[in-house]
Amino acid sequence: MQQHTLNLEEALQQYFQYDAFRIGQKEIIQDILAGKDVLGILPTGSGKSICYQLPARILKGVTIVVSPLISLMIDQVKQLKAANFKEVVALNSFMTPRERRNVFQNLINYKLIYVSPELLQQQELIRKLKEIHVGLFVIDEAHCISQWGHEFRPDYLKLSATIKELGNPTVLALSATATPEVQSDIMNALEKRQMIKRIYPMDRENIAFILEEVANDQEKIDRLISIFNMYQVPALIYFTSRATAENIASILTQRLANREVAFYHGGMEQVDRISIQQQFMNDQLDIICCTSAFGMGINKSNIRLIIHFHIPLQLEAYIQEVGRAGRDGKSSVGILLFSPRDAIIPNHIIQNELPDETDLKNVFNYLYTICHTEREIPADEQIQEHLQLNEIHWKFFKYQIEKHGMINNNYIIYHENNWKIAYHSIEQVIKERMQYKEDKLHEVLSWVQCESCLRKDLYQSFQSTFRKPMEQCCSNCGFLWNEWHPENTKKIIERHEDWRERLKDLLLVGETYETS
Amino acid sequence: MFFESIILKCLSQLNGERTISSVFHLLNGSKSIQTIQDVHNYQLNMFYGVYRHLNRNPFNQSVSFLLENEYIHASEGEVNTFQLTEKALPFLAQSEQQFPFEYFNGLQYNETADMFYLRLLLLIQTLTNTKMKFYHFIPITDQPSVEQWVKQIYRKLKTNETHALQGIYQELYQLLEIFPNNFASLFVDRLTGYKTYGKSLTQLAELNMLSIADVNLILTGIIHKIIAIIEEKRKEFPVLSFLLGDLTEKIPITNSTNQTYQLLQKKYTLDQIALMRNLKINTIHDHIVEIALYDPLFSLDQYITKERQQQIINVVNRRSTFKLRDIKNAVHDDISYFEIRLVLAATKNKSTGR
Repeated sequence: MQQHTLNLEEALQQYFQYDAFRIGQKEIIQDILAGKDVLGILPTGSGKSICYQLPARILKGVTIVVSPLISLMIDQVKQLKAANFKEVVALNSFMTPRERRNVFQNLINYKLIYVSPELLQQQELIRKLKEIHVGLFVIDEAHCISQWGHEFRPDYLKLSATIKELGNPTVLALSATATPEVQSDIMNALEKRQMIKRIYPMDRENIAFILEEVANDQEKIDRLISIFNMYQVPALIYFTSRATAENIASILTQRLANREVAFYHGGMEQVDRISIQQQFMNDQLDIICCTSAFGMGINKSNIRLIIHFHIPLQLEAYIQEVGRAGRDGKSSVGILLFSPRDAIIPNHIIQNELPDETDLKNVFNYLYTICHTEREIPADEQIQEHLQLNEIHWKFFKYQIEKHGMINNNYIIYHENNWKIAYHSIEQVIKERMQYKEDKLHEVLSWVQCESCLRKDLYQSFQSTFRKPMEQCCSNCGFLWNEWHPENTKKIIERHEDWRERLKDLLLVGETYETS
Repeated sequence: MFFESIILKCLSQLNGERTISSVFHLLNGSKSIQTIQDVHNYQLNMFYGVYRHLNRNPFNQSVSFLLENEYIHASEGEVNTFQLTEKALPFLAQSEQQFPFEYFNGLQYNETADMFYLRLLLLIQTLTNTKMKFYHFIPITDQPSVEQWVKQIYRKLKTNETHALQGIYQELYQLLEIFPNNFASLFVDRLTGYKTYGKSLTQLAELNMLSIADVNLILTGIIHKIIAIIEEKRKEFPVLSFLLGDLTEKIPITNSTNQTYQLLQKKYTLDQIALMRNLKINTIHDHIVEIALYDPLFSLDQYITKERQQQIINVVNRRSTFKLRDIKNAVHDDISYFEIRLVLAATKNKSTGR
């Protein structure tokens, strides 16, 4: 085929205006173009998405990307459109049925379709996809397929059936954080044991790791103040709670002169979220206090400081978040502020992440009641409302009861014995998941208490070696602030006091106008 | 404090006859027939849906503030029902001086305003960026209907961004002049242009030392007022009229009610409609009440006898109340709530001359 003689560097330049491939990209793209299935493990910030965005432009047919996070999909589509790749769309549950139908009817006009795993279970979509040619099937955040991945998504387990139904297109499974066990889990679940493994080390030689133990939140705040008095650089501060992120942002605003601080979390309205993101991209903001909702798909290359105000729940999450620093390759720092009481909060969050035994009982009672009257199960929202379950909890249950044959095509099937077995089995699953999450948290806690090299300890379960750090290594190997000299990003933004002047500057931009 | 004064104003109109929750639903723009009826019975048109993303928490906090500062007190023998104290009146008057309630026209504009505002924001962002030959900006909203609209307009305008921007500038300048300086300033700070992104609600609140609720309401108030002026003098504001376009012509009736209305026109009975639409008869009753509110040709007589109508009207006049329970207790036993609501809705409609 003509594709093989194609000069990939030229294509990269033409479509994405990059001069050269980053590590791993070219190998993976070559494999894909040769029709081979690939498992790609590339570190955060290494440009994973180019591995399928470039093939999407070159290959015949459409490229499907399964992605678990709607916000991530939408961000990516926006960036691609801004970069003049227009034949892209994100199919998700936020679209109105009419919008969705519109896209369904015009599938052939797209080159790249992002879709949530839930939507991919819809027969209508599958039928439509079968009518067109799927050239490449991408599973982003592929660790979600593994029960032992840090973000298990039941819907991901159904992907192997979908791939078969679509006539076995080339498959690319991508992840930034997958241990060797998770890697083999992915290949097993996809029933593709002969996938080519392209595993690249995830250690970042330009990031130094710092752990600081303090007595309480007040001391954390004081530390933030003193750090930001030393440096004016783009920074993210991660929190596990929205309220604390908001609260600390307002304290920093009061106590830091000449620094623009804002908060960002999933609970904000859309215009505000885009404003804050883009102000940060534009260097109008210095510091963002955020939850894990921030950063996915954000392509800011000069973030210098990633601070964790709360300890993360898993090392995988930490590696991803801290990996947003220094994508331009320049020296950057990750700081984790830790106080002895901190282990309590994450325990609480873990308990809320999973349904408990009462929820389980309620679900069974509810199903039992309606199976005698209507037999057909109500809409998801109605059940969630009735049982006071959040979406993730109900999805978990729905997957489990489907798996145990308690519902079929939305009809409830009652067999006393089967239900008993199912009940105990689900109870067991919850216990195991809880235990797993606790173990993950334990890993973080033991990393925090580790006395040897933090870099080595952080990466050791993912890879056997790591590169020599570019500058300083970590606080355990010895870190000196006065030897860290990031470039100052001070930006003077002129602001007219009178709104009339500001309106004129904004709307009559680029004009030489006379002052009236 | 504008938010609190609006709550006060609503409570004062409700006259202790409805609970505090009805204020919440009103500001949120709830589509329930109860809220729609409150809007009409207590002349709360202006505030309907003016704060659509209002959450319970800040609302409750503001109510507590009003209680603690003795601007309101609980109505005797009623749960969650409040009335204004003497102290509230000067507070209300002072607040209204700074922020006239007449800016708002919620019932008519609450949905239009959102669309109009998003169109304006995205059009300004698009034109200023493309004028500077910068095509890689991230749009401030991705609501498909807004994006589609701006795309279409942009195709027509694209060779002449400068002219269009000058038009927007002159019209906005003229309109914003009528507002206090700090309000106009806030509105301008929210706009996104070339390489400057607008400020978030929180940033605006901090900058102007206002609550987030007040920032929300000021922006909404400005937009409602701007729309009202444009509608009145379309010729003076050609560009913004164009943005407003088709948005303001819709009758404020819900989709489902409209379907019932169509079937009524075809002379189906209420029971038939309920059966056909697979809805409960109560829901159909709600639709009829909503239609009675808006349809000037609505005839009560086919639903309730003249005599019964009169009985209800007498009670309303005698007791000067719109409270359903009170009316129900005072009329003959076999008059239903549906009949009472219907009569209230229809008389309301006539009295406002719709």
